[in-house]
Amino acid sequence: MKNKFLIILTSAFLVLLSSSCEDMLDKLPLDSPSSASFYNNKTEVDMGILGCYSRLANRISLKGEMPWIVTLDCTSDINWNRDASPIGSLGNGTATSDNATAKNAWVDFYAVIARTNFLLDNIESATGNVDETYLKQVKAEARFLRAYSYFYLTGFFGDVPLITKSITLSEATMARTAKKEIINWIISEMDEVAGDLPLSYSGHSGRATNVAAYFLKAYAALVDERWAVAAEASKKAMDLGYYQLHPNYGELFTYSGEYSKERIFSMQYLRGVNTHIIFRQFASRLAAGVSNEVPTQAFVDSYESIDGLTIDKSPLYNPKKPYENRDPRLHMTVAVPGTKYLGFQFETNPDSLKVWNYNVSPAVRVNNTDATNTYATFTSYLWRKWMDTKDAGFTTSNEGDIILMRYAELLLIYAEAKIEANSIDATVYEAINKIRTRAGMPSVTTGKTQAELRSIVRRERKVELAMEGRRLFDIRRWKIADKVMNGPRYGNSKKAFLASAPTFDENTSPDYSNISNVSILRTIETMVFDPNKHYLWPINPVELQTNTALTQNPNW
Amino acid sequence: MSFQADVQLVKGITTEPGSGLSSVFLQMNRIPAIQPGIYSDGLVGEGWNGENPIAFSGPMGGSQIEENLKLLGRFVLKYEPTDWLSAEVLAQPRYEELYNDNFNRAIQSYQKDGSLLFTRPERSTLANRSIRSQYNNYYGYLSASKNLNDHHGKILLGSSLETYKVRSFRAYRDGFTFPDYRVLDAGLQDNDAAEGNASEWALQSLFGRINYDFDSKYLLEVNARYDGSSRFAKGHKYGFFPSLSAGWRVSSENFMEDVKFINNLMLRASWGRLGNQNIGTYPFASTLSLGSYSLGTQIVSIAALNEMNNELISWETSEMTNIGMDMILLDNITLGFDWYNKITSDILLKLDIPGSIGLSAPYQNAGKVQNKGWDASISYKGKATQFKYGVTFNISDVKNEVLDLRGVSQTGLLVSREGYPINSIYALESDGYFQSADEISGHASQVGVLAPGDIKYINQNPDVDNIINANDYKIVGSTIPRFTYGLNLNAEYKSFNFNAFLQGVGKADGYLYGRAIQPFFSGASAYEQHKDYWTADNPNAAFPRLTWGDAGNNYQQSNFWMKDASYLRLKNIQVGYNIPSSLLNKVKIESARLYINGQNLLTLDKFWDGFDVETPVGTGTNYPMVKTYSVGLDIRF
Repeated sequence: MKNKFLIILTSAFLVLLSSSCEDMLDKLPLDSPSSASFYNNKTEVDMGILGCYSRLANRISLKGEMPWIVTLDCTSDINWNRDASPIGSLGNGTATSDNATAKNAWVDFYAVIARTNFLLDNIESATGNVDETYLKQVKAEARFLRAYSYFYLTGFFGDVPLITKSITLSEATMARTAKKEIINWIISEMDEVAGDLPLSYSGHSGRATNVAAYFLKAYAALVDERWAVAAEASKKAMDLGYYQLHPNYGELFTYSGEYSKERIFSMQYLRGVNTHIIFRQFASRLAAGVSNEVPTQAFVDSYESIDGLTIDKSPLYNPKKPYENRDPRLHMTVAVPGTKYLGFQFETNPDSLKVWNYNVSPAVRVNNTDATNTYATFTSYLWRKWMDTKDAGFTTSNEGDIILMRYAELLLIYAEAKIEANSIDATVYEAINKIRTRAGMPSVTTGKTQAELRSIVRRERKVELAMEGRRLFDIRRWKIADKVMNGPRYGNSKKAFLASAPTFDENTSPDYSNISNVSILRTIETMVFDPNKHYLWPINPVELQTNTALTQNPNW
Repeated sequence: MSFQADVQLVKGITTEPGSGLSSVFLQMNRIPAIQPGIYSDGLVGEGWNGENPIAFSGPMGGSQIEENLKLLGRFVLKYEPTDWLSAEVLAQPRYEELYNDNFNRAIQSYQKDGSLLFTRPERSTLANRSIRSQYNNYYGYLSASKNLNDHHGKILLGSSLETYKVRSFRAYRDGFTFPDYRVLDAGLQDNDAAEGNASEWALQSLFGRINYDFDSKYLLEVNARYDGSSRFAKGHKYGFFPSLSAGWRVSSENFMEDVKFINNLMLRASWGRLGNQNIGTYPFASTLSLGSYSLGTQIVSIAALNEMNNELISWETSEMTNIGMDMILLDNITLGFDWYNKITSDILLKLDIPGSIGLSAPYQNAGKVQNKGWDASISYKGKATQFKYGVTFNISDVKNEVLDLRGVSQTGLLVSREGYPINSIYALESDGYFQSADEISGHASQVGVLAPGDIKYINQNPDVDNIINANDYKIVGSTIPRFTYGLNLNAEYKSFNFNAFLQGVGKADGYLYGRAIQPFFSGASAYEQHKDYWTADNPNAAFPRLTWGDAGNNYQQSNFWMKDASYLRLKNIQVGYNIPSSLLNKVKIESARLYINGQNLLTLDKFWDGFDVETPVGTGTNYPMVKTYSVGLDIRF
């Protein structure tokens, strides 16, 4: 009897284990909400849209934890990346189609697009629970970010698939849409959303405004050479008011300039949440940096003399003291030898065995590693823009916000569009001269030809917007990349100067061939540029394989 | 009726440098040997931008201490009312706490004049991480057996339930003014961080088994199980997995009675299906990840969809067929042989998806892989008066082939492609060096600035283009070892004994790259062996011409950097001597043994100098194999 009882007990246990626990197998994530039931209230709407911004800032991985818009200039003629990062291969023509920087640019911008599409597809469920005007604004912000991402995708790759809703695996086989068509779409999107966006936010420039929407429209139109549209859109943005030039150009890119009214749209960084490594990448060896990205000789020579003439024409230019009497922006953007940089005396001449360290009081003499270290700057120059001594104790966790759009460029877009449309009037001079006056440079006098003004506005863009990620698209749309991205990339000698200034073409691209002692320049690399290939980045082979409707860019 | 309870408490501690082991080896490979390590006055040299592997691995580098505390229980209630029936209920809980204490001390490095260069990391950091998990396994069965003359039968029916839940948190601070106090409270509060997470899964099974044998001559076993997993969505949770095996002891047959030299001969065959569900915990669920962003000085919360989900995924299954034989010959020779064919289908894989979807790839039941192989072993035991010896040799081989991957061809160094083994090496095919400028201009275009002494690649599609690009990559090698073998030798003579173990791989390809073997890679150092580089006078050098900074061409993936990773290694050798007991008895010692042991003393290979052939793929940042000599004395009282 007892036996039977125990057998029944055991059997009952078995049945219990096998049947009653159907629920045991229903496990859902403990740390994240289901996507099916999102966007119920304002909190969730905020979390969704801020998630879209966050993907743009943290991050588009063109080079590790460098803000993508800043490091993008490594792919142009003004900035050089020393180590073997894939972004350097895009800069010198050794990239192959599986280049990681190109791949990340594609994947990461499409990730921003996917977040915005998901939000736009599902946000209607919040209707009624969220203020209608705010809901409209959020939708407009998402559409702005989506268009902004497509602008960069077309800039890097040309024609790309235009995806404007969340898609499944089977829908992902999708051919390219022509770049021109996408630009048209960006322009019409911005026309539709600008009205729903506010003029500004208090305490930050991290979200989209109506000025940013018109800026994007103007910039996209400029790239597409639709001059009238670009001029009209930039004018509209300028007329909305509020934004203005920051009084001090150099300060704008430091912590003191973080909340300047010149900043229209920027990526947000805060220690503990999202940081970058500009300080470590740019700083001198003495200031505990690795001097990895450095300005090129061609860039430094592009700054005018203080009289407004290029250095090959200016009587004030002294080849023995090449950094004197120059556009003040040179010294706000670039650290040249013989100056104080991050609290140290910056010298590249190995004869300067000891230099001053002013960070301690009284100042002391220290060994000059900026001349002796194997990996001290290869060009004798360092970047000053974006640098702030506040980051000295946190060289790999900088929290300075990074500008994506600022007022000065609006003026330059306006000027360039008007010049190219050949509708040159006083407003063109006014726009350019506002920027030059702020910089401490003489105004451009009236009566210039279209070609002269084109040359001036292109030089302004080169020096004013350096290290803000504009140079690659500029040399592409001006079709000068095959000239400036080909042949030797120069750095200056550690201890000597060129005997005379180089000559410049109409795009302020220097030619050093006639200088008697040209051989003193350091050839830091020899660039290769095939005009039939390198005007576009390659599409990753994995992308071509998984989306069979896609084709590779020519000659990759 | 019986009840058994085992409770076990296990504690393990591992320690490694605060910056991690791989960073020590990375910097060791990278830093030129001429740089100062530690100055005579004890100051730390520059290392690589302040990252000094000598300082890292010493006490000033801090440490990562991982403490693992496990409480294991096993409770069995067994009941046998009659000799043919038994029931058992088992509970096997496991409670585990993993506590990681990672203190990474700020190391200051100096110039030779004593002035400060770098402080890396800039502040000492302390991260404490606790992972607490509980695993429960409940299991019960009823079993009945019946013997009728030479017929033996047994049947078993049972079910089980496994549950697992893990919770973790991590706390972080930096800025430790007094580095001797490695507790969070001693750090600064201004940059502290806390994170936490939890997840759980469950697995439930019903299983049965039938055994039958006749006179231990014919054996048969049938198994079946029905498993349910929480890792799949409703409707896809369950899988059915049967298996079958049979044996025939030929040597027990009457007709074998006269075959005296065969002591035992058994033939085996089996077929079975097994399931795998061991992938991320919630691959079917579409959820939003939570995180943070900032606006100005304000921290804000975000939610975003990052991963694509797949509600349709279900069990991965392997189907295996096996034929085997065991034999004992002439009392001393033991032989074993097995042949198998295992086909795994519906493999749970993250196949590449178009990046334009903007989400990371979901798991799919996508692949089909075949493993066909065999194992063989032979051992012999011999004796000649006082000399006893034994030899065991085993060898196995497996041929791995990807049968189906839905047409997706991966790229990268190690790829899995249809028709090739998993993790094949995918690269350009090198064709020696360019020996002249004319040769370069006459060849398909390659990247970068080329010069004689650069690696020349074969254009695999000359009818399509005259460029070396992604389309010229192909499978050039396989990292799966073939013909792995081992040899064990032992001998004993009077009080002396000897044992040696050798192991080897007959065929494998290795691929080192980056700082491990490419000279001056990204500003790193070069080794002695790199002196054998290409010059016009040394056209058949081991390495291409030396370049700095623009080696895009030579550092592309190619079979130039691939090496034969087959080897034979003397893993262990030991000679011992038992001290005669006549001597020991006087000092009340029961036994004593003196021995000398050596590990990894000898390796025959054709791999790169200075790198371990047993970790043949990577950048050489693994902890390498070490040669160990030891002398020991075992004493028993």
